[in-house]
Amino acid sequence: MLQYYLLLFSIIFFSGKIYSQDTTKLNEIEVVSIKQTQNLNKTLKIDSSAYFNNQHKTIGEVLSNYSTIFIKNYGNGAIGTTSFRGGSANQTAILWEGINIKNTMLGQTDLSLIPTVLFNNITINYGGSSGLWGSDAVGGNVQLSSKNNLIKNGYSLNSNLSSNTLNSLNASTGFEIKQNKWYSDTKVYLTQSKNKYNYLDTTLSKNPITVSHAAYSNIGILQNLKYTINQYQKIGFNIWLNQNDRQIPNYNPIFVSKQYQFDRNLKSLVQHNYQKNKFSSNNKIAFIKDILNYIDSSSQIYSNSLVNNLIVDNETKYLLSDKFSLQAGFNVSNSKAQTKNYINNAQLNKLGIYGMLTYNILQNVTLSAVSRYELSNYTKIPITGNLNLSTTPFKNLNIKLNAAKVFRQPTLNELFWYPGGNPNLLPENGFSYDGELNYQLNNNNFKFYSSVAAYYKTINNWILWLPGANGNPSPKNIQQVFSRGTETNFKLSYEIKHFKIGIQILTHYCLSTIQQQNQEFNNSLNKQLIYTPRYTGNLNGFIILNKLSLYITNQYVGYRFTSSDNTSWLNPYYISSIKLNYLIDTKNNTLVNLFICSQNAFNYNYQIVENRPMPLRYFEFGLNLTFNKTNNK
Amino acid sequence: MKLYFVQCIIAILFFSCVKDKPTLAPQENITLTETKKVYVINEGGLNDNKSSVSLYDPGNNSVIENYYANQNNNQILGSIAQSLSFFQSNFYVVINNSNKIVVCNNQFKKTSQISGLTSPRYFLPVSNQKAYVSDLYANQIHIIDLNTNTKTGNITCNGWTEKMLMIYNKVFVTNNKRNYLYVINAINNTITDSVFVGKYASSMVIDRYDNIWVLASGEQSTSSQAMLTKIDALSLNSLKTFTFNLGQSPNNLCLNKTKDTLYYLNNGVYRLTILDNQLPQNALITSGTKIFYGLGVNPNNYNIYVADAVDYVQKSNVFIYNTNGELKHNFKAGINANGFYFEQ
Repeated sequence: MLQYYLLLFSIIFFSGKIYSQDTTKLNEIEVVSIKQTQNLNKTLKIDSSAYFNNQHKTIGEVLSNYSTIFIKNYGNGAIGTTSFRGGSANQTAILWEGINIKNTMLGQTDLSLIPTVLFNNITINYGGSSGLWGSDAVGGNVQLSSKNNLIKNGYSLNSNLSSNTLNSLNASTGFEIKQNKWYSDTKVYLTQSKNKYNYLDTTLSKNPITVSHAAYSNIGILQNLKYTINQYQKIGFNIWLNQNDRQIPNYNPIFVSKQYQFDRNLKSLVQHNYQKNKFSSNNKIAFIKDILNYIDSSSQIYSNSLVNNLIVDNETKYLLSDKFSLQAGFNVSNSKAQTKNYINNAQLNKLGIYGMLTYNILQNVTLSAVSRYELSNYTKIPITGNLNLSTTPFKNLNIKLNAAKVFRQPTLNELFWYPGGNPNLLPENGFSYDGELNYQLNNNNFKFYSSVAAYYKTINNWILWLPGANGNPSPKNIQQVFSRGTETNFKLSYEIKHFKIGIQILTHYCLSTIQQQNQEFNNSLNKQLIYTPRYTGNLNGFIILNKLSLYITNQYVGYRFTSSDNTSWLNPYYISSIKLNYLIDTKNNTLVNLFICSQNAFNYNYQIVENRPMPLRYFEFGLNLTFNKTNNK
Repeated sequence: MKLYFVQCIIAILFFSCVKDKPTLAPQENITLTETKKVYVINEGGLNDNKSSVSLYDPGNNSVIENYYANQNNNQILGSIAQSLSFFQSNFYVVINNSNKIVVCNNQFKKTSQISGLTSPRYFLPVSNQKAYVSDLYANQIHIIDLNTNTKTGNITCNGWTEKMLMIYNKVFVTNNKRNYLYVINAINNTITDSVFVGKYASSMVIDRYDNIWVLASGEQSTSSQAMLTKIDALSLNSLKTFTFNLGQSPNNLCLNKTKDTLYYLNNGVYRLTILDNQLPQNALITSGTKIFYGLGVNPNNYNIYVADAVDYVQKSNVFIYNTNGELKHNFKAGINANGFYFEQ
């Protein structure tokens, strides 16, 4: 069956050559997903300054500081997953160049495996969007992509070198070159950390305890290659190799952990863009290979897993008139996993087809409707879709409304894990409604942006692992979860000559409660989901004066319950970082930025996950070097 | 700027919904009335250090939660409390994931700790000076000196050793990863024999006639059916074998006060007498939507105690039934209650 899909893809992929009229010329080498530009949901784009200041960090750390997504982080270098608008880690789609890169066995993406330096275009789309992106896009999706920095022929170099007082070294280099129709962007990165940090546990000692067995290393390369075939067609190749080794501490000074996790990841993508007149298309073939090996020699656990994903994706758009546009596409995927915890090799095949109609009712009112149908060899997937309205009733004021039917397909582990896997699971599904009101004002030196959003979401057949036969856990569709809340984002900046000052305030209020469950004597009804804070907030600010700049981030995370009956919890935490940059311009197309940063500046003792103490205050220092040379052609 | 203020007001309205700081009802001062109390062992969750012991007083139906912490200045017990034994005025709490056994006096105050274990499961005293400890991963049974509370040796036994009991100076050990019940000479610490009992044998009891009953839960992936086997403790002959339908995973075999009636979990609670010639068709107590995780029969009064783990991440329910399967009472215990110790 897969061969037919591949053949179909090949026909579409090469069909661009049929069209040869020369009327529309593309401006620059960008190979992008059409859907990425068609989203009418609330969006939040990570600022370039946030990207610049966090190139040595992971995506999880950036999202934690600059968005309202709660990141459940087990510690530096340890697993980091999302809780998006009160959803589970499986209910966020992490998209790399428009491809969902989750580990299909786990159904989630470990954000600690994704260095920020790879992506200068990080966009968060809020709200349900299963109609466009399929499974997992329940709370929202995070788009990661690399945008060309070079418009003209030339090359640029961006290198980073940093260290910290936890015995860490981080180095990365990006090299971009554009030569006529060719564009290449190569990024290599390396992190080595002994991760020897201090934490307080007054039940064990009055003095700070130094964590042991928490070292990690991460090394990888990302190559983006783009070629303009002609003025209508472009082709892109992306390959990303990642290797991560980490020790997993147990925070028990008496018993030394023997736990290790080894990740090996290959992500590759070939995509083709065609755009001419009223027609545009984007076609992709992606191959993703994830190896995850876990060892705990003290418990004699040696768990090896391998999962291969082949994804073929098509998006086609046609402008029917000035007011109407039609978009359609399909997505075919095959996931095949090997582990001794599956009785047989597990395989999940899917075919998804979607159609989208966009109608500009008035000059400032756009309505779009999406519908998606998916077939899978496991689980019956409901028809999903979105209805969006975007309007600009007044200058600078934008209103977005979104209603969506969303779903999450059970993961390979949930279906096939032995013992306990449940092949009869239904997909989690439900309805999501949200709206955003945003206002922006650019007045000479003064910039103001504000956004207020509210959401309301009900998810049925929520999957939980419950005690099963022989005490082995087994996943079941057990409950309905009702999430609702508000988000605000205010940004204010003022700039005059060599002085710039700015502030950003992000808040999130989230009630995510179990609305129905079918167990007697279960005390979780109407209780907040575990590890879902009701209140979070970020206060970020900066001051730039000539060559000096100061960046401050502050994060508050409220109480998180650790038991589903809400009888135990973790206390709120408030952490800050203060970073000072000094920029040196050598007048030779070369900029050198020196920085020093205090993380957890107020030495707060905190845990994001229970019994996973986070580092007390530590310091980072390093430099960024950028070099640009472009021809005036 | 008017719009900005409107947005602020909307945000404030939403933010005034729920107070963030949680509160718990203060625990009442409990006066224990019953001399024969019930200790509930609560595993807690993996790596969450929420193992606990609940103390239940059947006299006035009151419960002291976190009894170990209460008696030991709020000390943490550890991760995954697997079992609780009482011997010579001492409690032995086996903490599986913390690789230790916490020793407490009869007031549950910690007096010692046994370390150097891999993944301990159950504790069995075999003399006044010596105890055996089964282990999930060690491929051995640990030998403990009860005078010093230290490990002094081991008996090699490949696989996941689980429940143990002793009769006629023989120690019988179930093994989850083997099809056999192992027999150990408790005097010289050597394995002397083995008896076929089926896959995933985890629980066993000795009836009033000194026969051993072993319940093996079976393994669906290898089409191994669950089995209940009656064994003569002297000759080691299998006297009777009941086979369960494929797909059933019975567990938690228990005996009543007079040691003539067997109880086990198979989703619900089932019962048969030691003279029965076939397995019961119907459950004495149906589980409904509850998830029965632990079972005990009070030797003082025949009452049946069943622990419901609910969803692994909240307090367990413990249900007390009479011998007719009628619910008498229920109370809350710690997270993942898996067993009981009844004072006699």
